[in-house]
Amino acid sequence: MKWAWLLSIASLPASAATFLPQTEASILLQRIADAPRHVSYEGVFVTQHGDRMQSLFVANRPEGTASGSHLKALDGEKREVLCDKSGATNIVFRDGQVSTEKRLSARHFPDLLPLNAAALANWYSVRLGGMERVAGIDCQLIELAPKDVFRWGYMLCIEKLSNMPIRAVMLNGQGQPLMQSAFTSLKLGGAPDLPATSLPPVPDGTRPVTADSIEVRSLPPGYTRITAVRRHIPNYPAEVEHWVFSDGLTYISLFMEPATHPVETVRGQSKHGMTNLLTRQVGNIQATVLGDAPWPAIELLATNLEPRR
Amino acid sequence: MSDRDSDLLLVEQVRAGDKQAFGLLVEKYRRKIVRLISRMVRDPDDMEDVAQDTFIKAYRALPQFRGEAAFYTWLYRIAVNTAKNHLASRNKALPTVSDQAVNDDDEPDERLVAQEVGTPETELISKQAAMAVNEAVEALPEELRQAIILREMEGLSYEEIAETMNCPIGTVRSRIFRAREAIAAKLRPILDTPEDRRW
Amino acid sequence: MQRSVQHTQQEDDTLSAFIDDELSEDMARTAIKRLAANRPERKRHAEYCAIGDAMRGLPFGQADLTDRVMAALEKEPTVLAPMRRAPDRRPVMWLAAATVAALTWGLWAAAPRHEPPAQVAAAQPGNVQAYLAAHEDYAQAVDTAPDMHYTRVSLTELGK
Repeated sequence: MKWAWLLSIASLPASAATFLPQTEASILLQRIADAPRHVSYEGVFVTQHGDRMQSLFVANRPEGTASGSHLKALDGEKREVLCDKSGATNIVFRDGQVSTEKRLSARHFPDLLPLNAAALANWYSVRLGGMERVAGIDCQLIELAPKDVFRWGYMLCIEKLSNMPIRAVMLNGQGQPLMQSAFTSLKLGGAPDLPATSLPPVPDGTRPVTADSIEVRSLPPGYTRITAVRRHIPNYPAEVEHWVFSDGLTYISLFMEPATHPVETVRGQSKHGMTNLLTRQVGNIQATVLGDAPWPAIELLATNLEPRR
Repeated sequence: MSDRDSDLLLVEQVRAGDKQAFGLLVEKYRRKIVRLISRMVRDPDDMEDVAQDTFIKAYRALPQFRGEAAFYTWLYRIAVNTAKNHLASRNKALPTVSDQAVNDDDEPDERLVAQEVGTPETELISKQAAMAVNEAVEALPEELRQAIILREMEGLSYEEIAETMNCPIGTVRSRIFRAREAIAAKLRPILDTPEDRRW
Repeated sequence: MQRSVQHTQQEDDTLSAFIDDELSEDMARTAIKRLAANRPERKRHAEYCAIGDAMRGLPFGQADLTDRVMAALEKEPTVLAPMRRAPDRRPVMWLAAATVAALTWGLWAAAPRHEPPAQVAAAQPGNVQAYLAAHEDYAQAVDTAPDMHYTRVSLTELGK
């Protein structure tokens, strides 16, 4: 049922200090999600987590036959990621050898928000902050405050004209930074060169799950299952089942494999609290739930797993 | 004070032995819970029964509620589990985890409103009441209408509404109260409860 | 229908403000106690809840659901489990524009660590590093293998 009087509030003055009405928040979030997918750009960004930092080069070309994006690690092991319409591929250069493997997701900074970002406004409150300068670019601060304890918050710095994220800071419940990514140099527009793909086609290596081996009785609000595959993972001998749940911004993985011996229930937490984990036995399955999500989200999911009857 | 603190106060009151305080939580969340359940349980009579079971289970489980999650989040999980158990006991197909219907969001789903959640009798009252509220809101003086919309539809606090409407917080509080009273006067005849109603 | 109880302006304002969680804790406690003891007040509370729900598009449902729940609860033992309040875990909103400038690289080293409570340490489960690396497909395109701290826990402690 449409409420006619909803239209009458559209002309109310916006306040920089207040949360945006949900409809406005949805529109803004969608614009921020669309920007890096529709804008050509080339630059270098740094991601910092705790005391670890990594610089990456990124080029994105959204249109044409050679559309896609390319990332290159600029320090540490030589690694690249190629994303195109068919998906994403990791390329690792090690000991004179090149190995490739499919990535389950093409997600990378600054493509942090999902394709359908409007729905995020159900789980995050959005507030406009002041202006900042990042990598020589004037940006608008945008706060994404989680509406509950099941997800981290974000502070985004968005280029005013293009709505392109220039910096993203993941924050915990006390507003302390957990991880941040920020461009140190960025060129918008133009036609960046993407490497011609001379690599052989990479076999998918994943098989869809045809029958759920486990039942999930409850999920944190807003989370849905977005992936369920059987796959081989690097540096691991056995095939595992890998499910992924997300609210669009936060991602939680569930890994399952047969329990060959009794499994101890173990909780894991990263040094700064960003990543949480629980491994436990469910029937005859070893189940591990992990993600860059607050502990209550991991706990809720992990304690609501049951063997499928 | 926030919504979460208010719910916590109510839970504290219940856990101190005051059952009536639980009724206030039921009244606050019952329609949201019924809508959540309606996405999994299609029979209108069963929906209300499952909702009733949900609240009874929540009352029994209150000693285990630790207050770390929001009360509604905790209640939501109980509702989903109760609905799933109900379907399982009726040998009905369980919704898959990826079924969007399992996730509740704060925006009314237009599709679900069209299919709606009641018997013909409750649907009639629902439509009459909704129309009465709609007409009453439209008939409000502008400043009362803005205030109640910003509060109920946009979820703004009094402070945020005061800033938006450029008036003191006390004025916001008074406008919202007067708006509610005006709407309630139009709604009351439709919902009027018999004298023998206990609640 | 005539009200049998006359309200002062103060009381009327208070119930409406209670619905909106705009009362101080003390006043909210008083309002709750008054509501629990006063049927006409509860009726007004129900009307205010119904108005908000109607504006948000929720169907009215059966009018006597609360009644039926309360009747069923009469047969239930009274819950007597005084509550110890958990620390407020709501996300604090948030950083004013001026303070974001403080989010410099230097501050990272000073960010307080989240220390888990003292528990029995556990060895890293054997497959976890591989899982963390596989999950990284959904994180950002960075090879971060977080330093993890592991503890043994009991499923019953987790509220299962």
